Amino acid sequence: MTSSRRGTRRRRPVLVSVSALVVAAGSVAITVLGGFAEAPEKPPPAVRPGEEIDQDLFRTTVVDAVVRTLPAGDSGGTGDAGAFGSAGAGRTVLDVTLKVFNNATSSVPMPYLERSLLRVAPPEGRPLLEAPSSARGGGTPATPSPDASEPAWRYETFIPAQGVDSRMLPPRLTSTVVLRFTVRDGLTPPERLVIDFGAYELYQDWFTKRTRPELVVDDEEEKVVAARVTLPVKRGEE
Amino acid sequence: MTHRPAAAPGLPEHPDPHAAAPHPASHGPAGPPAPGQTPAPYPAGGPPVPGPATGPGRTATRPEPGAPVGAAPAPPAGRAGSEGAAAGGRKGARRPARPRRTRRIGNAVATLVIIALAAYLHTLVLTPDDLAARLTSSAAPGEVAETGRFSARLDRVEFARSIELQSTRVNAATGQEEVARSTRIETPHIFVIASVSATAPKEPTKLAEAGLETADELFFVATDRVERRFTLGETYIQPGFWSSGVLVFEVPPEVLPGSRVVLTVPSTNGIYDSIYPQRYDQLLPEVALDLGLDEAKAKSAVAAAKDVYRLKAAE
Repeated sequence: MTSSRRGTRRRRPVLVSVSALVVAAGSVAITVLGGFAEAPEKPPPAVRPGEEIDQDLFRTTVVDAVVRTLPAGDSGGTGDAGAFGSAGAGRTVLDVTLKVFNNATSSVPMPYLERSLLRVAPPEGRPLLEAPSSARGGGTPATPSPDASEPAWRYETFIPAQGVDSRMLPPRLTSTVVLRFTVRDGLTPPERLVIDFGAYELYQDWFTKRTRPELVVDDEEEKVVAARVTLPVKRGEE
Repeated sequence: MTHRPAAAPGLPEHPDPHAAAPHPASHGPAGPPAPGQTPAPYPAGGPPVPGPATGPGRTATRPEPGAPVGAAPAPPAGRAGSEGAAAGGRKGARRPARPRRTRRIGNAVATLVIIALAAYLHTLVLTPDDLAARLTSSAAPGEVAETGRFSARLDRVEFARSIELQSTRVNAATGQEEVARSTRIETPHIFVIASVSATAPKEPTKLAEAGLETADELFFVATDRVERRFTLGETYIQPGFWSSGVLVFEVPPEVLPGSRVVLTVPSTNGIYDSIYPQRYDQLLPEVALDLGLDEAKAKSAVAAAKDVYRLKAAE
């Protein structure tokens, strides 16, 4: 036993110097790589219109954005027309068309897609649509309406179909979804649109261990922008 | 004094008999103390163990690692060395090396098989989602599927390419029912119109979300293009009689073979489902009504689909 203790004592200086060397090398490496300062945030991945966005629950492609006047008698969006005043006839709208593949094994109600539209805005200026940035509980929009006199944009989301529109995305099928902003007095449709998409993940409840899709959030519970699409707004007459 | 007197635990004290054979000195434990041993190599705390195997004898005939595995348990290090060595020697003499090696291989294989079996069995463990899934009661077309809270029966299945939704109203002047409004919906897929009857044994209830489950487990929720007032969804299901109505699904024709209509009733948990989603909505009853369609039947049924199917409901 005495002999073994002596042996350890002989080895100790080596260990100390080696660990000192490791610490020194690590410090040098950290200094060279920029120290402990926070790295600048990476901009969300830019996706061109026509490219597919993987939202896990959906695979979405932005087709185009068109400002058009609905012809009289157009029943587009009748499902919700009652809530938006004058139905069809002569309404000017900004339609963003999406192709959405539902990756789930069951039909998914439209609010899931609406929740993943984190922000629709012109490059500069007031957003047309902005979801609260905090995922859980936070009910306040990131930027409150700066000017109360300016009316807010209203929107509806639907799958246009003959007769009555649908608000249900069938499983494992691609649906054409229209995100329709109603252009009202005091509102001018922007020249360009920037659309931020969030992504879903299968969230497992800590207690029940059951799963459900939830939007991906970062460490501060802020919704993560999975893709940013910038596209011009076409002026179409119909 | 370079080596420690007590053997490391687990190392067999008695040497391997075969290896030991040409080295009589290796029977150290039984013989006199090894030449290099000094009278008191121990610290005050530990009294010397009688007849410990030490020194050159042990190092010279270091047993091959793992040799005692499968043999009789090795005696504790430093104790009863002589007996253990003698017993081991006798045993080993009768047993040639070959069977022992085969047995070791056999043990290794058996271990691997057991581990593989355990790994496979683990894949059969139900996930929490499966464990909390609804309890399904199935039935063939025309037969009753029964659960504790409701029973249902599939009466008829029809197919259509478009549906005329007629909202009716009773004319106050004439007392006649007349069509107030009519909307025609079309589909690029196919409309499945399932006529279903349902009853409840005790408590009246309404159907929750109905769906069409396909053979590869896709779940098409009943179409929202047909309002609930046209379907069985809005009707109360009551004890004592059967309520009948239709359920309308909009699906691609190719999913029809092997698909079933799945009906459920809402949970009775009240607000608790909104307080903690998924926690309390477990083991709800569910009914699966087979459409009875195979590949050929589905094809001919779709080919014979009606152009227009009329559904009427009060405004």
